[in-house]
Amino acid sequence: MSLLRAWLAGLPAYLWSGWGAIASLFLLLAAWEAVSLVYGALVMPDPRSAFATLWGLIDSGAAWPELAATARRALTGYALSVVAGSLLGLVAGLSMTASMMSRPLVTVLMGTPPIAWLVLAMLWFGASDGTPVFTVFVASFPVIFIGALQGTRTLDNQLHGMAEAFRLPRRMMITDVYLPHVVSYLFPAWIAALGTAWKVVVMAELLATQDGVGAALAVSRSHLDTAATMAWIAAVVGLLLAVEYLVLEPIKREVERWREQGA
Amino acid sequence: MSMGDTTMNAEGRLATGSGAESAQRCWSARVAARPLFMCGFRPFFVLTAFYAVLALLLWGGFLGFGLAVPAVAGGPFVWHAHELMFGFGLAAVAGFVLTAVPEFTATPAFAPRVVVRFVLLWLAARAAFWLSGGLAVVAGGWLGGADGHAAAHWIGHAPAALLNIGFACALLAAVAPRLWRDPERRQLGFLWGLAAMAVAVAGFHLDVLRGGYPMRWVLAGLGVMMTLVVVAMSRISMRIMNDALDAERARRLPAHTLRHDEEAELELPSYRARPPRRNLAIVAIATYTVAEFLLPGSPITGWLGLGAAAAVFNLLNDWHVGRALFTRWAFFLYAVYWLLALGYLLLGLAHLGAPLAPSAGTHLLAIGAMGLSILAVLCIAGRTHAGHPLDERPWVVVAAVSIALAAVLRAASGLPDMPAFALQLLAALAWVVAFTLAAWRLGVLFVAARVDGGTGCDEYHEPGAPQRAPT
Amino acid sequence: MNPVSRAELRVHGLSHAFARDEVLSGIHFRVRAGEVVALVGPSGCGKTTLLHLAAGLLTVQEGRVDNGFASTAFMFQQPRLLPWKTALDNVALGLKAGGMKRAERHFRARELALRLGLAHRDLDKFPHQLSGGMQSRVALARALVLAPELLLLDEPFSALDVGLKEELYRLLLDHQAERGMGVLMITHDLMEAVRLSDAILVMAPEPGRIVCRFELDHPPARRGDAWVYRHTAELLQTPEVRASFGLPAAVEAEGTGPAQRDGVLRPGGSQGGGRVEPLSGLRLVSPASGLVAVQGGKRCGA
Repeated sequence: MSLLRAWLAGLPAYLWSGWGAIASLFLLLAAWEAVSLVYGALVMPDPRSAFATLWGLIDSGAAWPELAATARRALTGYALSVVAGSLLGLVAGLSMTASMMSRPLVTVLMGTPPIAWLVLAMLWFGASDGTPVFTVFVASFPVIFIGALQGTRTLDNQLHGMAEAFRLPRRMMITDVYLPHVVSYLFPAWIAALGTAWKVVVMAELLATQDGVGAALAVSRSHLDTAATMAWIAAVVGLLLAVEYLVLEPIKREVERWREQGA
Repeated sequence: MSMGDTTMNAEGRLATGSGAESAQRCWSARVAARPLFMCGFRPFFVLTAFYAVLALLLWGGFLGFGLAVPAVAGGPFVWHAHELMFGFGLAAVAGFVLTAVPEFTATPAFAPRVVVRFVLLWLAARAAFWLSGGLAVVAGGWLGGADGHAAAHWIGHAPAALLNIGFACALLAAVAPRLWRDPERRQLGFLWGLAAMAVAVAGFHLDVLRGGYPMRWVLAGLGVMMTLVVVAMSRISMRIMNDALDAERARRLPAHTLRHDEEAELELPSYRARPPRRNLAIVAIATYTVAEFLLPGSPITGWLGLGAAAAVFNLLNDWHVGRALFTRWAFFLYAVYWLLALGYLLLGLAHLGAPLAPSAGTHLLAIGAMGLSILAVLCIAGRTHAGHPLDERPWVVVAAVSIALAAVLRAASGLPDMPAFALQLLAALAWVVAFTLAAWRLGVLFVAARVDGGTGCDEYHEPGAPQRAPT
Repeated sequence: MNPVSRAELRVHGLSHAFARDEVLSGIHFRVRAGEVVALVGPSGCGKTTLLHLAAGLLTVQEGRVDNGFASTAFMFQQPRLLPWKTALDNVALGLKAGGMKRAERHFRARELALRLGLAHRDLDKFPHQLSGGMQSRVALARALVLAPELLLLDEPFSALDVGLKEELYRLLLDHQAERGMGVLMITHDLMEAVRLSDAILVMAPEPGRIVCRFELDHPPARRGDAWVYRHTAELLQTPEVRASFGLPAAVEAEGTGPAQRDGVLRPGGSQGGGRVEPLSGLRLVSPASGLVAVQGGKRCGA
């Protein structure tokens, strides 16, 4: 409860601190505008026409089903990888042998390009939702797994000794010592994985499905409609930015307040 | 006084009977010994306030009653823009740097003689610009013909160019060595700002001499002025905000038991103008200014304008420290940043095709940010360095609100379907009211000798209070 | 208020080895209630291992540790605070482990923390926001709030400046005297040992063993700086301590060595050889008294 109150009290200051990010985004838009002026609207439409197209898609209601389909697939794959990655990573971290064994496997998973998984997934799942969900899962799993593994491996022996000396019961050992530490590793991994999931799902849809943002991008490409292309890209990136900065980042700040350097 | 006379007499004798020279030296020494020239800010802040009133009275006369303003190349709008930017604005900058740079770099204050020369140069530059159009016409009458016309244009504007560029360069030359030699070179922001300002002045007059329309240089000068405002405000605000926070702590303290004073302190963080945010704002403003200069009216400029607005809003993160913000001087400075940000917001929107005139944004910056910050500097730096505590009388509020109102009215006149004409006249009136008050209330202090026992540019400090950190 | 407890910590014939390295060999000693015992010795002589064995943090391999005290608290060399808990929650950690209700444990933790010189506002801070000295106070409060009958200290003050050390010593001694707490502390700082303890056990390395025991007869609370300096210097001149820390034999400044030494340090309690001023409060009770049997390694003072 006090956590919620602190979060609400800090919210205006947090939102206001977003102006710095907004300033640099505007510089990006200026660069985009410059590219469009130099190379012409066919290569790169200017930001305003892209936003106008996006607004048209939203206004006509054409955007929502596609975005919903994409979000459904991304979140399904992401949820699976969060559960599997976190649990397996924790378990692997508890045993030295398991973590030694799992490292090369994770490197293989990380090193395999998502597009390769996508080809396999298309063979296995065809044009169903399974293809993007699987690709998302495989792409974001290793990120979370590594985070969980690191979190368990780096548990501080000194704190462990302290906890024993003060006779902390088993349950408190987990809730007061292990969990806060592991979460501080897991949370950034979850956020990084969400970004991966969101990118990979669009790629998978582009090649494998009939609906979703990726499919819409494929259609606009075939029509040489660069304004629509940029509109979809803006929608995807904008959603990711909104989720990350409005939902995840504030939670992260509150959860990791104890880490802040300096006052 | 008597000491000065003795010295001068001695020098006069050394000059082996050159009576005229001796008399002239005597006269200049007497001028320099007046309290008005005790410190660099005094004459310039007086000129700033008076000139603000004069320039807008003339401009109001032109807008409202069709009265003539001095004829200059480019027409009345060029006169208005140049005089308020490079006349009014630069006078305030001169007063500020001639006082602040010696203080920041811990070097001796500028001698009254030097200050007198700067004032004369500034007055000559004003006169030359006002007369430039007339001089060109007179020269044209003598020379005649097409070739003669070009030459007459040159003859008319060369003195104004020389004196105005000379003033900006002299100012730069006077403070540059001190800023550069400062061991940590912490104040180089002022150096680059002054150099850029000199470039803008030079560009303006070279454009005039070449027969071009010089308004883009005024806009560039305005951009430079905005960066100087950000730099100077961060210095002043550190003191104003922390004083306000101290006062707020003192107000809370008696209400609590002794054990809780620490908690009161905990709730009130101290104010720091943090360099990263300030630098982002300066870079964003500079980028916009360059883009506006090179690509006027381009949507690129528009996005950069929005970026500058966001960067200035970002600067306000440092300011949100609770109740202490709502004290007179803190809020005064805070309002400057809001007008600065809103000005760039309107400019950005205008360049992106929103139905409003860019001049709306320009005037929020020029009237709002520049005018209000100049009033703040006059009130804060002026009064403390003249040996008076901060002014708590109501006129300050009236003047500040008038300027903010003038900025908003002038900006509103640039929006579609507005009674532009009436709004502009009202804005001019509000401005004149504000600076008349300033000229009156502050002018009497700046021409008078110090009453607190201090000398030169010394800051006021309360009897018995510990020496403050310099502003 | 506190009846004098009869409880004590007895360590009997304790030996310990990590893999093939013998760390401790034949350790005997005891700590009674109300007594401050310092274990001094060079780094790496097994002091920390010994303390961990005494605390039950390591499994005893050979010998016996009988802790008769009802409660024991431990203070480590580093503060070892949980970085994600506020200072107050860190202080209250042991109480929480004991199942005390939140309001009650916070009340107790706050009360003690304030007595140990922490401010109200510090209690809501996270450890990284506190200075090293404040972190040490939190760690001390975390141990003392349990009202332990035995307190084990592992060089807890070694990283602090002189002023802070003195203040924490005073806080510790006040608390110890008030509650009649037994304290076993390890340190490599002889001055700290002389300042705080009733008895000093000197350890020598390879393998870690106790080579002698000194007793100090002046109550710690009444020891002035001069007293502490003089007796630290004296302690440092004894061959046992010099050998233990690997120092060359003391230069015999004046007089004849053994006679002088016997005069300053009265071995075996009262017999006292040649009386030489000033009278010392430092007494070598072992090995001369035979209270501590030293096994392995060469004999103390030989």
